[in-house]
Amino acid sequence: MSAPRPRLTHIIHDDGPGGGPQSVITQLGILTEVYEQSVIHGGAGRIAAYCEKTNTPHFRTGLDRKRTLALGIWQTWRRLRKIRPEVVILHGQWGGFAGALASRFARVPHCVYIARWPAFYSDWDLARCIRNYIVEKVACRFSHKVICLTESSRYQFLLRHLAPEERIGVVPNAIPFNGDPRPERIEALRKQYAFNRYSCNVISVGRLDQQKRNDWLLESWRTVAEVHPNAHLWIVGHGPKDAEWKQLAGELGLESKVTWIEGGEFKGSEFIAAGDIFAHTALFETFGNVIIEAMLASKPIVSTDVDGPRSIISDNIEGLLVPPGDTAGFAHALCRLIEQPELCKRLGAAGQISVQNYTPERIAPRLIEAVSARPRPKIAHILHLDGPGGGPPLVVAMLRHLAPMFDQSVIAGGRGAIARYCERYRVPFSEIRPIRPAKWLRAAPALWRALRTLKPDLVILHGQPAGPVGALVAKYLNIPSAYIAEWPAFYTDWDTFRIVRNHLAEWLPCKLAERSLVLSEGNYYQYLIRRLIPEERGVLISNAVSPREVISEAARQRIREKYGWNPNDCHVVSVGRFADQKRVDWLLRSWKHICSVEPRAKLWLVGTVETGPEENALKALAADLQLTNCAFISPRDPGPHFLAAADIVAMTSLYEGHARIPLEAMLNGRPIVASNVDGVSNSFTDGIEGFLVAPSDIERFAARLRELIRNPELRKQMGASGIERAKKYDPEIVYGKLHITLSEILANRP
Amino acid sequence: MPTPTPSTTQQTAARSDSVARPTILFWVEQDAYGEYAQYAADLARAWEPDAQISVWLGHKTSPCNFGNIPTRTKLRFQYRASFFLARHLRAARPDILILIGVRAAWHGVRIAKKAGVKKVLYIALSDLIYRDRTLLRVARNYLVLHTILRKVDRVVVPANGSRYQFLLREWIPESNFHLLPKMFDPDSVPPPQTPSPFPSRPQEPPPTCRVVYAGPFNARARLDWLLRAWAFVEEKDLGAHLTIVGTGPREAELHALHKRLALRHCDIISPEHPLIHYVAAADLVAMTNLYELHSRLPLMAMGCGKPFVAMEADGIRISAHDSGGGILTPLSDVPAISEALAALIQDPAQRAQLGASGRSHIARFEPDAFRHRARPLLQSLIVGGAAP
Repeated sequence: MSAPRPRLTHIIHDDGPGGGPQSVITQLGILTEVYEQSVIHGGAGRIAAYCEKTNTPHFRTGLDRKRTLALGIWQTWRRLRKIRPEVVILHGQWGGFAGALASRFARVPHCVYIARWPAFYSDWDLARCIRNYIVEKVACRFSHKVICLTESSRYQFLLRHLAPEERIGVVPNAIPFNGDPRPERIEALRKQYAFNRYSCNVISVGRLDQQKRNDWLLESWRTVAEVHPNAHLWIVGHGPKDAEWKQLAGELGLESKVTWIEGGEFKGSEFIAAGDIFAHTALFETFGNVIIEAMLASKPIVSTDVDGPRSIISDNIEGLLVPPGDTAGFAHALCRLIEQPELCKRLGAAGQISVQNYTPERIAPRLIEAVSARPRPKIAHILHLDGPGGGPPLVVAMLRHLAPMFDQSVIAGGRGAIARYCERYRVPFSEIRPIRPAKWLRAAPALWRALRTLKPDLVILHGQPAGPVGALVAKYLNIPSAYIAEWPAFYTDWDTFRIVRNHLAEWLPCKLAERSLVLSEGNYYQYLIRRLIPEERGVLISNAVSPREVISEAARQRIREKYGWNPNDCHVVSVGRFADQKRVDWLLRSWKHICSVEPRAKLWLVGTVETGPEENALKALAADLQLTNCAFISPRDPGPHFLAAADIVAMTSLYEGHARIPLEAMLNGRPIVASNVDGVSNSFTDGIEGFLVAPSDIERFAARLRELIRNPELRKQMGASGIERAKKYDPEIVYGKLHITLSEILANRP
Repeated sequence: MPTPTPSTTQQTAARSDSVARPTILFWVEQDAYGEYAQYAADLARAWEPDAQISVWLGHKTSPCNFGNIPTRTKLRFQYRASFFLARHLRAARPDILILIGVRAAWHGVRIAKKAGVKKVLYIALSDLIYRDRTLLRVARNYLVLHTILRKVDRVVVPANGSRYQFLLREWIPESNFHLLPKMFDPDSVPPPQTPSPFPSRPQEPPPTCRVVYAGPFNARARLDWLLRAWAFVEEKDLGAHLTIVGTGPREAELHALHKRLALRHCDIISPEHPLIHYVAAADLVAMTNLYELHSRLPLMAMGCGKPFVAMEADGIRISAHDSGGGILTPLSDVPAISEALAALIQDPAQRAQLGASGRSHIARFEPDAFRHRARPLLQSLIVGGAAP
């Protein structure tokens, strides 16, 4: 038995004439697969008939009349209390205002306002200005999403600041293509109205009210009729301006040049299809279904350049756009089309292609997504320091990859690459004081406050200083967590105090988190032998590099030029903090064996001053060793740019969580010489993409470097192999496992 | 631009015609960026051969080139000054009163008829109609604008966008509107040998593409969208540099956002040269305005033969659509504008093509075209009837 579908109620103030109710019917059809629907409406027309036909529950209220509006709101509220829908869709301004109030009182959890007839288009006097503002503001204020039918309508909402811009979206009307109008009907129409009498039949379809501005059309037609006396204008529709515009036609001497059609056996779309040109002079449209119908019938369109049509047709592509009120321009555009059948054909053909964007199949996913009430799971990343090193790029890569599936937020000490990413992609970022390894418990109150505010469904703990405190706080708040062992503490078990502290720092998150994710096989082995991670809760993933991170040739060239790199030299680059762990001293000692015999080789040690406690000691060592062709750089340019510009990448770390440097070097086609240590050894194969050398084997390291310096062909070959190998670390592959792990945790949470 | 001084013969001829020529008084309110006075100066110079013109300027108005037209700048447009203004107006008793600025128009329309002014024209350069953000503003804007529009004989709008906003509201007959876009002075384009106005950075290589925004830092400029879009462009590492030139009330916010986004290839500077010098020295012009009455920046870009990237907003749309000199992206779509910027940065050929296209269309905004459009308006004011 299938799961029950969520309940959705549509509220529309008037089930009357016009294109709106037809669009609501189309939306009912689209959403019927996903939701258990019902309709609350004022009046009774096509929607009521559709509901009867499809057995959709529908309820008539007094929303369609001003006098009974208050009663209608009360009736709507009562009905909503009985239906208890998960989602309410408010159609149009009065449906929006009344429905928003009723939904608010009935405590409907999710409310979507479809701005089908925005009120502000009738700001004609002070009373209307105030009324319209209140009506729209209430609908926008109480709705979780505002959906406009066109970009131009959205623009009007943005100008008025009626809702925050991120809450205003666009989903056009869907027009079902069900074979209408049929050719035999069109033929019958042409015969009945003797269309053949005229050289060109121009059609205008729509209600005859102030919005449609058929007076502009009539004034234009006077000019057209003088130039093309055998062309004929058909105005299809009726409305309050009927008599006034017929009188105007008489005053302009157009009685024999214009035919007025009110109702009858043929529909507007059939007239459009039977005519040669479609003319539209509305002052505004919130969408303009008739324009879609004209495009569907491959008819060229002349329209005013107004809200609605301007978002559907492009000037000179599917039709001609003329500034509103420019009757001379409109007449000129009509004459152009009457005189140029080829242009008509081109515009009509383009229209038939563009109209495919409005099929229910194309619109359905957008509508379902826009209406969807189901919030995405919320994840909070906790990191001890958003500073230098490889950790923040890893978090950024995860944020980027998980963005389509989760609503994410970050809690981190300091501001760096992650804060920049969050600012750019508008991810909530809570800055706390950096969490120190020995004083991690001090961060507990700040984390507790941040998590209470963010209310995540899952917490990801990045690395050990944030791991223990984050795990404790998350456990206290009953939030499941996943621990990513980015900087295993046990690599610094140098004394008794550290052994105890590190063990606690690793044991707590591994014990409290639902899953522990380790970045390399070497690290995983260390965790297993210490019995920190139970095998069933450990997951092995790796660092990732995306093809979009490949550094452009221009950027590489800029680095070479900026630092004066001679293209005839061989440039060896080491990138990383000047810290104990990186053991740059081994590299310097190796260089001692190279610099004297390889005068064309240059060593560039790229690191940041502010984070490199060892920099001065290293500089002193370089001086003691009397190294030549060796330079320290503390640049503003990103590290990967140096890797990409280099000929060889050197790395002498003592240990790593899972180093990014080899991955970035391979991605950019650079060979690597690195220490064979945890976090590096599994990144590439010795002799294929680079060389792995036993840690502290200085002579061997120098020999490998020399081999590569002397053999450009080998460098090229290893670089090419590296590019292939880097494909294994594509985020799509690597983080697929992470996504599955997180989904499992979320599925199993209480 | 140096205004051509009329020769002695011309001046004599003008004096002899002065009886037949109508007297026109421009009443120009001060604005932050000198746009009102600039427009008034352009219009006054266009009408100078056919009318006797004098100008009242707000006391803090930026200096503009009014040529030989007499100007007075001691007026303050305050309610308490209305009495004195009325007295001055009665003394001047112009045939036509041109009002620029909402406060000038608000006072002007109320005292013009009493002072015996025959025709009143309002030039709608204020963005009041775009600022219906709260209920109070909605009511206030309606009362102010409706009062003005109801009492004037003509309304001049600089672009179709704002004209459309007025049309939607149906406050006055549409025949009273006259479209008169701003003028672009080709003499303002600096010669090619002009030194670069950008601050030099010897320690950095020259950018592959210099992108520029030059204009006010106000709420409608929405430069936060531009900075956010630029952050995405920087991620692509194209070697381009964005320079935002200007001043305004949002400057501190912009600097803060710039810092938060940690943009490396972007700087915000105060102008030390005319803005058009920055545009002329750029490779690409970018703007993300929410709306404009009629933005000068696309005109400057077209005049200098530079392509521009902007959003589909009122006051900008017409420049791009009609000239083909730029690319328009959907409004508030930050990724789309960053894509458009990146595409143009990487494609010098397309930049050149768009720039050439814009340059070929700028003639529509040059002084001759402006005069051609402005003179029928004057005629219609003199003889009456609908706007041309």
